[in-house]
Amino acid sequence: MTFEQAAKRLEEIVNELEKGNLPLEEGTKLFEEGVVLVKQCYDAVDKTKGKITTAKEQLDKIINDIEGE
Amino acid sequence: MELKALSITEVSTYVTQIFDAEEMLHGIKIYGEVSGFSIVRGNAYFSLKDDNAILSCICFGAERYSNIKNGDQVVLTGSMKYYAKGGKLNFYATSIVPYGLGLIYQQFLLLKEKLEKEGLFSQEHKKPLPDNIKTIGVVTSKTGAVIQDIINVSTRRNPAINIELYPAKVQGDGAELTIIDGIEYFENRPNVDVIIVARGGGSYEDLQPFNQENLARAVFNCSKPLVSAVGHETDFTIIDFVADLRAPTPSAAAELVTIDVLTEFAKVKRDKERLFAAMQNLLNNKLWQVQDNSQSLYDIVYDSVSEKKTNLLLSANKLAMLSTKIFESKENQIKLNLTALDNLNPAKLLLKGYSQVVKDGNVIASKKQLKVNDCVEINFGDGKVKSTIIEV
Repeated sequence: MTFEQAAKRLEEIVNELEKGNLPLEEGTKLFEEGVVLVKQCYDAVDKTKGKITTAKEQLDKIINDIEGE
Repeated sequence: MELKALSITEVSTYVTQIFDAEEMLHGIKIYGEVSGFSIVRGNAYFSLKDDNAILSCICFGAERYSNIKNGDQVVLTGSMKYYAKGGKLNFYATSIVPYGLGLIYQQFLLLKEKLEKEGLFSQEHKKPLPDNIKTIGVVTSKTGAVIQDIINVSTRRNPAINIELYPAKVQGDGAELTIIDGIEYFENRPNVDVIIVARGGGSYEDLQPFNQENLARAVFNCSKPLVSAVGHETDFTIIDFVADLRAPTPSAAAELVTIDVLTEFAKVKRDKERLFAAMQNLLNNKLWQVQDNSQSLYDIVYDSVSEKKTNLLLSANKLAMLSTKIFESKENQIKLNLTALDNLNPAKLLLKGYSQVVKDGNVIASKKQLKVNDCVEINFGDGKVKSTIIEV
């Protein structure tokens, strides 16, 4: 499941749960599903910074790797 | 020797033949600016000029050229011919084609029509953007605002996004070849998820590399999803039609390929809070319901028991009252009976003065039961006497 899909399903679950008239067992099941989704979203957000490179750097790197062998 | 005088016809014939024989002036293309354009009886008559010269032109069957105006730059295909009867050298054109910008635009329309017919613009060939885009390959100039805008917008929305730039020429001769190289480069980079081909606004000529057929085909054949973002919002180049997605600006392209992770993540955090709150409320509600129900149950049972108790007491009272009444009535009855019985007691009667006559142990109630000389007993209240009957 992608981040977007998980986030969307989480919103659906919260809306359903907030209606307040669910039977307890169903509510608990949804809640558990929601908790799993929250964790998935947290995990999916890669907090590391992305890299910006140019093709030349990549080519240089490849050449260096080859020459290094 | 005197020169023989030639007739006009002879001279004109000769001139005609000179031009008819000159292959270099047949089936050629010439270009210039139109002036004095008119169409008479389906034929176009005009002049074509440049800064230093002017040529008279005729085009037969020229109805389709009614959109030509004075001042247009055009290219004519045709031949020079001397028209003896009019004494004029004319260029007889078989076709008139706009030149310069107009020509470029015509070529654009022709190519667009051709590629559209081939199906290169068709929606069914367009690839959707993949989920989870981690690396964007950008083919654009390494200088200028375009790459900066793409980097700024992308990293603002998703700090984790990777961007690879293939520096290409975005205008001038051969620019399309560098762009094609860039596309192929990113096709072969396994980590690149999507390709953006971008350039900023420019003149119509500047944008021409993006109207080239070879680039269009490279975009069509690209194995990865490709977004085109060329020029301003209102500029449309051939690759805009061929690409999987067209963005009106480079920044818009960056928005298309990135998720606004920070905003989305903030929403996830809020939803997490809502999730826990909602569950808490649900539990509380259920608890209140149980309490409510148990209170109600207690009340119901209590009321029911109370009611039964009250009913029981009422019934007991009723029973007591009834019993008393019955008892009293029975008592009265017995009293009455006793009184009646008492009154019927023979002993009482005897005390009143009545006496009982008994013969042979039997009580005599009638004189017929007696005869003279019968011995009888007479019982009085205070005792008995014996007696004999002397007369009946």
